Amino acid sequence: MEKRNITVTSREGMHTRPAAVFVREAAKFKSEVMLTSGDTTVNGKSIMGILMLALTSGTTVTLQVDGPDESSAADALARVLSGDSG
Amino acid sequence: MKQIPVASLIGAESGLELEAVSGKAGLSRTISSFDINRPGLALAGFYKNFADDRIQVFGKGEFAFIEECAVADQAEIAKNFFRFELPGLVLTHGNQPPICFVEMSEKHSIPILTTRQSTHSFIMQFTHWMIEELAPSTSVHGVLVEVFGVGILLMGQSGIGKSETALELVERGHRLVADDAVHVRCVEGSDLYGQASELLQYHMEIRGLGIINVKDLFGVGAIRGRKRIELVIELEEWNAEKEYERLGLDDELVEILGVPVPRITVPVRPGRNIPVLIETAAMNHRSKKMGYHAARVLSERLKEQMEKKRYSNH
Repeated sequence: MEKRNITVTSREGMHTRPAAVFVREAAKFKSEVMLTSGDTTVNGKSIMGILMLALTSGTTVTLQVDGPDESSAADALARVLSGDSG
Repeated sequence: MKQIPVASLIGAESGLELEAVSGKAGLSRTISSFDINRPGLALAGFYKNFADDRIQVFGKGEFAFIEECAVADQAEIAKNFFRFELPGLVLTHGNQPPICFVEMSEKHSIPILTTRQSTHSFIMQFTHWMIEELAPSTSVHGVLVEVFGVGILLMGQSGIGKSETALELVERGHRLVADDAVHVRCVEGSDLYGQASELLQYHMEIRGLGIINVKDLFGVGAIRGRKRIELVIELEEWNAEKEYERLGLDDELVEILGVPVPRITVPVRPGRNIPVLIETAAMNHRSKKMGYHAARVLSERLKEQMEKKRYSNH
């Protein structure tokens, strides 16, 4: 299992569009993706879950990826969270 | 045990109508009990078994007692009273604290709050609010629906069709509580209540359509704010290797926040009408609750028949 603490640095935070980008990226991988902010953990493949966290820029989240492609998934998702996915 | 900051009591959501008078630096102090304490004995100088970890409530009685005391005595009482690490002090009926209490409250950073409410109404609301706030909670990846009055939590992997199933159920006249991210709270150690986060309430994500507002599209009859979870239905891809329940004689249980909930695993494959299966499961659950367990009754009848057969053979 890959577990990383990542600070959301994309300027506008994870509003609806970036959330969709994150979920789409997560869905590309087989691994299970969980995202934790504060005491709330949500499924990273669920757009409603990500929206529920309402992550603003500067928030630190814990990304947990578990599965066969966990390290590449964690890399890709960390890039989305930090806002340099292009 | 959860810790609730005193500051959260002040917000409008609590309905307590509290205002901080002094000791605001101490608003970050926390409470972990839904009990309050009426400190009559303490004010009179008796501090044995003083419940100093609770919110202290000054009703009319406590307030009148302090008012009757000479100023020097008031100061002495305040000094003794604020020696304890109290989470906070609440005055009801809109009473304002004597000046020596305000001074001590500032000195020890113990907040004093006032409310216009009566003592009785404040205590009732406070207890109710705290029970809710202190309840253990978690968020679950699933869809909560109400089917024939039964709260059913649909679970299963991303993309298995939980939301689509819920949509079909809504279309059939049932209700959506929360899509995809269900906030679950365990109230009084035995009941699980699920609801959506305030932000996502009534919204659903349907692949291909995007985000829809169920309340707007289907009306207020199609939604429900919160619902007790009575049954978990796990949707999973049909697996030819796996043995699925054929009798339903024994109830499988799953634990959420330590509370056991019956669980049914429903394999999904083309041609199986999942919403109808869920409606049936809901009715079957109600029937069991009313004391009729179809599988067990049939099993009993079978036993009786076999018994009869055995006698006639002899």
